[in-house]
Amino acid sequence: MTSTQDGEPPHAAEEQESHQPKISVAQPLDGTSNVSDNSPEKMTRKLLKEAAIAESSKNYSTVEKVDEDYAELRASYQSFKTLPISFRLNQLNALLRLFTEGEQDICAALYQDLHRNMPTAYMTEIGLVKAEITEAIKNLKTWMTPVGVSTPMMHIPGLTKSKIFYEPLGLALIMSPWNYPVLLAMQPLVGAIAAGCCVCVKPSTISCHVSDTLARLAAKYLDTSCYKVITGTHEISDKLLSLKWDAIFFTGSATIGKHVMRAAAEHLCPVTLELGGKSPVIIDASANLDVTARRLAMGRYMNAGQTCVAPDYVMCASSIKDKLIDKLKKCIVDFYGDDQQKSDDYARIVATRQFSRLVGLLRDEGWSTEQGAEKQLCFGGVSDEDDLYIQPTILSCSIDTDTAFLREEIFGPILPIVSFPDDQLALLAAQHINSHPKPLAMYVFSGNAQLKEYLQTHTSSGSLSFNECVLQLSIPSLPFGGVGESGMGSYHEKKTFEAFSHAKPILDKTNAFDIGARYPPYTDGKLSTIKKFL
Amino acid sequence: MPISQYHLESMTCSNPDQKLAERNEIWKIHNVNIPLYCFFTHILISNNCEVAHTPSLIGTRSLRTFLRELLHLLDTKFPIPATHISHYTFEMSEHSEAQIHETTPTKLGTQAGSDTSKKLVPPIPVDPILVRSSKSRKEMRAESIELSKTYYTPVSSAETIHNQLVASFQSYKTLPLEYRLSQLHALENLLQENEQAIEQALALDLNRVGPNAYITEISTLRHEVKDAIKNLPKWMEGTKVPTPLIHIPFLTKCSIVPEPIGTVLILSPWNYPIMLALHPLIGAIAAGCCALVKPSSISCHVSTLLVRLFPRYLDPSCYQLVTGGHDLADKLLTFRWDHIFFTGSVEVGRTIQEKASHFLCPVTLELGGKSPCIVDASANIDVAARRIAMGKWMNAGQTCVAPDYVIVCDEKKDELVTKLKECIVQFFGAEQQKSADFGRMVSEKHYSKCVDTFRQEGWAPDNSDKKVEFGGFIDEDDLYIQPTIITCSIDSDTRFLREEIFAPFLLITSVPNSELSQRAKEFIHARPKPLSMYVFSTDPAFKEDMLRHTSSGSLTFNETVLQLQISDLPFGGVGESGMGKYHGKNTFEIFTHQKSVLDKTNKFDYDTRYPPYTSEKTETIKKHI
Repeated sequence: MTSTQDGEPPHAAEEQESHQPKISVAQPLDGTSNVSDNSPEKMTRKLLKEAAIAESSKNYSTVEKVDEDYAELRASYQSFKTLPISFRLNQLNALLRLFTEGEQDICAALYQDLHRNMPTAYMTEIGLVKAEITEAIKNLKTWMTPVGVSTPMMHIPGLTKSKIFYEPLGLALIMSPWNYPVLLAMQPLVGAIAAGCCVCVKPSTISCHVSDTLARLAAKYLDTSCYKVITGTHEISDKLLSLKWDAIFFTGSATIGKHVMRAAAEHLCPVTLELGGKSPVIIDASANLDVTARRLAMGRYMNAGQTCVAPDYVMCASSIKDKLIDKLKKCIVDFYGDDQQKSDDYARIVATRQFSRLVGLLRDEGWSTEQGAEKQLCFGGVSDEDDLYIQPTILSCSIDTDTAFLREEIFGPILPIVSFPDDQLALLAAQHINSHPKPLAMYVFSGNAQLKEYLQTHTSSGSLSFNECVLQLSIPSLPFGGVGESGMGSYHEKKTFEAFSHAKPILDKTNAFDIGARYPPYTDGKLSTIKKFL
Repeated sequence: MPISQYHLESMTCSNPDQKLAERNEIWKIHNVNIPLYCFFTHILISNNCEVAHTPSLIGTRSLRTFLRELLHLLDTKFPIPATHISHYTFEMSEHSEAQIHETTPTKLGTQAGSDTSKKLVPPIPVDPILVRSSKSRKEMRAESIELSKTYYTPVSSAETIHNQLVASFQSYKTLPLEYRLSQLHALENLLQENEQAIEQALALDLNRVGPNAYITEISTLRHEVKDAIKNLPKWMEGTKVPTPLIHIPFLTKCSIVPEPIGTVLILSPWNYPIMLALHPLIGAIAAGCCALVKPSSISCHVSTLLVRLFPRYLDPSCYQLVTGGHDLADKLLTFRWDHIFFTGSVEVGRTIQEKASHFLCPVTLELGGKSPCIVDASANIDVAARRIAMGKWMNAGQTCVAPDYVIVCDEKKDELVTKLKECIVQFFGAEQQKSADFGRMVSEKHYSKCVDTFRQEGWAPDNSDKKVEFGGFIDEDDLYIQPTIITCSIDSDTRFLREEIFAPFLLITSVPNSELSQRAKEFIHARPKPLSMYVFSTDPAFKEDMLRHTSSGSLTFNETVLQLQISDLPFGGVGESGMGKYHGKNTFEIFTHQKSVLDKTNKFDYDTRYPPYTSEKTETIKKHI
């Protein structure tokens, strides 16, 4: 993957795996016991993280091992082992057990990787995966049942049957990122198991605690001949991508997404790409600002902004801008207290590289607390490198301001707000959105039905939520996926099953009534018969 | 009266006898009013006249001679109903580029309803047999392809066309239902009113005459357009989906709303040149996309016909059809499309996906592959032979879903071969070359490729390893390959067992019935997943075994090819035979983004969901998620 990143601007969402860490630590860490946020004098989060990645690298797979694993997966698949529903249900139940019994371990790993505490972890990851598994177990039989479709007259319905049969695509590769390391690795896995695929999961090395935990638990609970979790850096990713898969499911940045699709083309492998993008928020004067501010703040500052569907920037009516900013400030304090660094609910930036990019931008672009400045820092801006902490931050500028925060996906706890004249908001916002890559999500806060309708039909985005943000993900009946540069393919529940299935059309034709008109020589008489039927 | 004569009368030109070769002089001529066919509109867009660049036509002729010859050739080679003639200003500026402008915006012909009085000249009937008798098919094809280059869209204008389509899409013009319906109706008219011209073009390209053209292409398209027109209002409606309790159903609404994916590119092949170009287009129009269609340049009569008919029926600001060679295709792939729909070969499919990856553009690839045909001892050989013969020799084997090879059980092999021979004679007569129902190889290149393999590998009636059971006669001038049955062992080393055949050679191998299931599965697994698979059997256990233990784009029992007629069965490949499925509503969905829309209430804004997460909140969350 290295080659594709050359010359690319640093990008938070990228699976920018660090090269071998330079810092070596005398004492190896042993799992959960060493959560030392309270003892920064000994070990800062930054050092801990770097040490953990170094430690984790000992478990990295090798190119040779990948070949072996791949051969094993291929052999298992070809033995038709994953075909019976009993096997799939058995593995789904095992996965559910993995989460029930391994919950403590997973939560601990998430806390170490991202300072994500249990309630947040449950709400944003574990709960959702468990719901997905339960749903899959409940519905698998229905999903697998062939669907009958209507047969035209000339094929003699009644004797001839047409149906759609779901068969597994084959070997699936799932590549998941570090921001929701459990959810984004396991949710696709549920669908892949349900569909009857054999699967290799390659989690990010940056969220190393979670990756190692998942690898360990998967080996313990799942059938290792059919499901493997492989960790490793670029070399391993490249190796994996050079193999022939029957489906690739990738979550991450657009840059790597392109690379994945290019590699997949070699084997004509279908890809599902879940990418990111700058998800806009539009708030008009009719919005309920109390609710808006709360939902917006929750969406933006959850996981310290490292969420692919997080609201990225706000375009609001100018008449409400100041009020909105005040309410957002209040929300931040309500949620995370006066000193947000001390809040257990507030996450950290995942690693040094991502931290430096954000802080560097804030510092170098000349954001000022001065009232009325072109680049105004309205709230926050404090950071602590040792702790990889960036305070929830609100920026205010104009849409024409030259800033990376309006150009690139932010992927951090920073929310830029721009405003448009009230009466032109919908028009200008739609124009702005349409002149940029299609976003993964779009959020509109408004009580104005006309404006909502206008924006729904005149913009394109992976999903659109009115008066809510991020939580559309928790609604299983809504497929999740991007469009254009924010990705292709969608999933959740049956959609995930379908992403790993081939819907094979079956025609079971009768031998009775072999109508002569269909065979040459085509005389005029035959043609008129045919024209009647076709 | 031939169109050429009729219109040359009205030609005015300051110096029409100027030598064309004296290029600099020519460019000085202004306002040459000359009526041309509507198919020049693509040149119009590009502001580029490539007519004069066709090497074989320029020579040292005068402009008048050149035009006369050109128009004469057009008449004979690419006849279209004369209702489609319009007037153009042929303008050449001092600065090299010639420009053609439409001077009479009034569209003649069918857009304003089919007014027969406007039909100046009836379409010129072209009998393919006649064409063949004066010149061999091979020569005729070579000449036609050369001439069709006259209508190639200049590569330099590709970008302008793309930009125009994108601009039209961004103007939201294609959003309303009425607009989409009007365009679908226009497409329906195109098919309806030009059936004869289409059949002629197909006869010239593939010797697909009359009923064959109707059965294989026109009927499907008509059916699909009707289906789309009927169902479009329903397809365009959003779908309501259930809202979980915690989001307060009744006050909160969840729905999936279809929106057009954007501006799309459709690349179609030569084997079913009308259907594979227009079928995806139906879906694109229905979905509200703007589309550019590039048909294959090999089926030149069809593509030239289409390029001329297109602007007469469809809104040229949203739907364009361009013709050209590889250079044009390559150029088109350098633009940002929102979807690419490709039908063709595996190698090109790979390139398309690779190029699409630069723009993260989703692709639908309809490729090919070796579609197996398995016949077990329980099969009704009578019916099997007829259906295999029909599927295989339709379009002279140039069908992506044609049965490519047969694995039959030893016991039934001889019976099957005998019956197949009978079918050939029944279908195409004792002398198949004379049959109006048997196709030709599309081009000399494709012909040679197929024939060379056959020759080099030494297939012959007396060669027991590579035996010709029937046929084997070829006629290069006519691009004709006789329906041919060949047999060999399943382990033979032959290209016919390795590569897709795509010609009227039917390869038959046999294994003992007891080993049939195992050997067939092994054989299929060892190769890329096929586009279709055909199983002839009446044994439910055998059928079930084949269904579960092999993978293919589609699976058909006791039938070949006709699964395509069932529009509720999605059509598409898997693995190397392609990705994405169409037909019926699926075609609409390919060009649609299903946007998830959540419309949340502001009431009941539970505090539980917001930090700080106290232990009570945590309990509640765990209960509800």
